Amino acid sequence: MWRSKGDKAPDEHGPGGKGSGGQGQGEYVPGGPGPSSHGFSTLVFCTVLIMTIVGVSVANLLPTTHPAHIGTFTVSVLGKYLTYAILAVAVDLVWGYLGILSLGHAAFFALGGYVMGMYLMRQIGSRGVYGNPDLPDFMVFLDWETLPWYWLGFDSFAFTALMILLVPGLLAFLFGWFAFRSRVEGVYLSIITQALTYALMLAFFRNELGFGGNNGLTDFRDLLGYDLRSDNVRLALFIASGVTLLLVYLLCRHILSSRLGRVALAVRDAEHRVRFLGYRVERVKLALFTLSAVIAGLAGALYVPQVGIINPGEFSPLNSIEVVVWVAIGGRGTLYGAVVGAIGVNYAKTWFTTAYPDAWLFALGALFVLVTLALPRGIVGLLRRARR
Amino acid sequence: MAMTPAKTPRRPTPPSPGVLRRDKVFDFLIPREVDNLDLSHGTVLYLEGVSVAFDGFQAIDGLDFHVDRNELRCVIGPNGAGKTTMMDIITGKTRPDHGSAWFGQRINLLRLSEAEIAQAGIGRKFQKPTVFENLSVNENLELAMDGPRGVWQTFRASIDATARQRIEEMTHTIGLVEQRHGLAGALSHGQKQWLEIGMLVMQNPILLLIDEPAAGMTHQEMDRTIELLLRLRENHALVVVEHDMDFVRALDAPVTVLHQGRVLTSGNMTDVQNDASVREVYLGEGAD
Repeated sequence: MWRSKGDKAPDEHGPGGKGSGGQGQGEYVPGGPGPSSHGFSTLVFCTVLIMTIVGVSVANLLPTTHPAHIGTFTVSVLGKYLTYAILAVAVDLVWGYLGILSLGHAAFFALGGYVMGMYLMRQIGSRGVYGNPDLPDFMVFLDWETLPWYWLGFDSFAFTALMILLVPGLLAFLFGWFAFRSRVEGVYLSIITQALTYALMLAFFRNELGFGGNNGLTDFRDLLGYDLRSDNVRLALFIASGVTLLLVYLLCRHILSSRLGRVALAVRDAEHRVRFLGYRVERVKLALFTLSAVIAGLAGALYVPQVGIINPGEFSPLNSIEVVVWVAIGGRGTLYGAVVGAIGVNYAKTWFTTAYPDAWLFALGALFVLVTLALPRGIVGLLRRARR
Repeated sequence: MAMTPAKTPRRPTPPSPGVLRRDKVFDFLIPREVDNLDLSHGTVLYLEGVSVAFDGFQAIDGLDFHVDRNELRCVIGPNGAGKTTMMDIITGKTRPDHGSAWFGQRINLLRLSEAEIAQAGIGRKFQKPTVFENLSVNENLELAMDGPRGVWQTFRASIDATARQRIEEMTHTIGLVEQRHGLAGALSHGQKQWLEIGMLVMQNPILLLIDEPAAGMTHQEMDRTIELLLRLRENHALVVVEHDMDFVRALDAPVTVLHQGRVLTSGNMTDVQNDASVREVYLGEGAD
């Protein structure tokens, strides 16, 4: 727990809150993310979200000839966006309110996805190409005789559900335990989160690890006995994603409006000062970081059945950075800004990659630069300013 | 500075490694005490032979310093005398190379983290006021208020009537009633100083370390600060570091002069000001 000798340089001016990697935090910005009453924004957010869920569901159930009908493909795309939005809320919880810029949150998302994928693989049963009732196809292909021990239990949904929360949570807890106790902060923490997701990507690419290597897990058929390709299951997954987003949002809002949320904000703005008030900053960070990873894992678990595949590409460092870009563009430190950013950017991505497939990354980069320079509070900040 | 103080034996030679000695009590066997602060001998803070160097610069050099219960002590000294470093050591921000630091009879400050020291009852106001700018004045005071500090307890914490009243009284004491719902970032420099002093008092520490409370204050504000500090003295121990001599004189308390990381002299303000070595340090060699 004690710092190294190099850390004890005399600081004549204060608790040294500026040492956190120069993320431009701690400065007071009028109208910035603050404790202002969130009752109104929560009400608006929940109303819009519930109306969207109900509206899309009804439109999907309308006969195909009806002009307002929304096809199942679109519903699935929207469901995917909602899982991205959950991931963005998780990132905003730690970045916007606690000042931890995690560039590895996609790792927790992917882990949740892999856990779900393992369950879905086991659901295939003997319907695989090789017809082996126990082993997934890729294991038969690798000449494996028995199911590895870490695949046991994933035929049960209850066990899987537990693991969806536990696996990302445990990794985040261990990672955070060492990182926060050693006071790894700011840009250094960002870099090691990036290393974490990169290391996981390399590991999951290996066939010997037993998660399908390069190809990942795919060819899913059933979820809880229902056919994943049926329209109703797709709609149910969309609704589940929406409801999860709603619950996650309310949970985060509840935490942030408690005293713990105010401590988190204080940690973001002047971490060292918080220590001198007697709060164990590393424990506050550990608790919220772990919770955030669990939320990310949950999002991943909802994502995989809707897109039908999970592979090591999900661990790619770029994915984690993209999440941060969504949050920055939407407006950090507001929660709903993260949702706006995630859905907005991904909608743009879908449109762009259809119309101009090569231009997307340039557009994303330009958008990020533009937002950083012109709209430091993101889209939400722009709307707030317009309202005033 | 041309003055070269004679080197005094700074620290006793370390005892031989007596692993086999029967009377040796190993550090790890001593329970870490945060409760049961034992002040029976009347000493709140005890620093002995403390030394710390930063990259060869001896910031604190064999410092001995102690503060009694309900004592108000002023610490003065030129820039670089080690005043802030001393506070860093007491609050756990800096670990000394040598020496010991005790809080009461039992609490070894060198074994506790900043947060544990704060919980044990040492509060600190920094030289540059550091308040949580994106929280309101009331919320700043709420976070500082003494109480359980665990993550879960903090999450479940609610403000009861007593707490509400304490916060309200404090906004009156520090003159920020009108600003109490406004963000602390919007306060003036002097008001932030006040808010930080208010936060310090809300922590209800046994020992208060106050670094330059008068910096950036008007004379009027200074008078109110003096009044507040004198009131706090009734049931707290205070260490006040200040450059403003009028302010120190007005506190009418024993003064310790630090110079080059050690105590130059102690006494009341008049004696200290007439002390030849102090004049030398402040005015340069040859001024007498």
